[in-house]
Amino acid sequence: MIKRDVLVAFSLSLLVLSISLIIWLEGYIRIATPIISSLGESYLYYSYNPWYSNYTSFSLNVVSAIIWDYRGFDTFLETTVLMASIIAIYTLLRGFEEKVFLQPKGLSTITKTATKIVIPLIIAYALAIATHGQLTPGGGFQGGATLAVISSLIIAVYSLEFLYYMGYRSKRLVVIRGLCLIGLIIVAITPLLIGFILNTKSYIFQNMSKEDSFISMPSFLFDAPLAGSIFFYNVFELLIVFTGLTTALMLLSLRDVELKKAFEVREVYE
Amino acid sequence: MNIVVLPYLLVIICSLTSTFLAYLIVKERNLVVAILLLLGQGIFHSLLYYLLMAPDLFITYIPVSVGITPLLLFLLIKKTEWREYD
Repeated sequence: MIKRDVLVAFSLSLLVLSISLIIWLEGYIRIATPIISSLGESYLYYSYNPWYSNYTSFSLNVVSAIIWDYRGFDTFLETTVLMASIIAIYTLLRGFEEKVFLQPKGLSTITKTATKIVIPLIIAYALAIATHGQLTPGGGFQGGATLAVISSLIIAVYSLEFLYYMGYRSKRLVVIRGLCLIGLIIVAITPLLIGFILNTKSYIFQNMSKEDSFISMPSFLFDAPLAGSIFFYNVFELLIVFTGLTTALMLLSLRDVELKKAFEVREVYE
Repeated sequence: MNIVVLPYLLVIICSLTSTFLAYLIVKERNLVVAILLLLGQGIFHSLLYYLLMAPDLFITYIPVSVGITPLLLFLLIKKTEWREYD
């Protein structure tokens, strides 16, 4: 880092400031106005509104209501796209094998003890984010990303060997991930099956009762809003994101001994 | 100082600092230092998400930018080289 670089970077940020000042002064874009568009207004009005039981989703967090109820199919497809990236890593490292007893190496005892204290806190925080997704900001993806920090900490501090001791294998994780994806589909088609049995009209990804179909998922657990299927979606999404990110981290941090066969396979194909 | 203006001032400061850091990251030859600068930029970005009232993105961005990305980048550097040559 030399003085010239700092100077150029400073002038670059001044350029950005001047451009944004011009945009603001000329009034090309409205910035932070109190006016909400009519679509946003309807979401805010209906996302938790017991008096309009045909439109509401009983979710206090409007973002959760939108991503899992009003456009749930979109989010489901996003979740399946994440699976494709894991498959891509698998194809890249085709032929690797996980060797368990390779002598674990880690950082100092102080770091290990500090990590041991931090890990339960992270687990509690991640579970709180995911299961309170319908009440407070957060949800399945956020909780899963927070939970995946644990595996990244363990790989960095204790080495990959410790994850193997705990029973983590990339293939098992992928199987869990697939099962959770199936669980998500089951939750999505549950109203359809109930409607088929009761011989009434119902929809895929239906959460609360609609005008022409009275089937609805449970909206309250005792006195806490459960928001029907949003809670189940969030729990499954937590497991999906956690296992997906952990698989990616494990595969990318494989040791040279484990990758030896993968290179041989690649040479054969080339 | 008027209390309403304060968040906007913080937004301006955060975005300008992240632009400043972005140039330094691109020009940095020592890749370990570049990753540390990227971490600093991640903190400013997450603060920006919070100030622009997107708590969901804020909660996602902190673990991704501080916990997962640096580990992957450090692993990459460990397997290749820590310096960039001309």
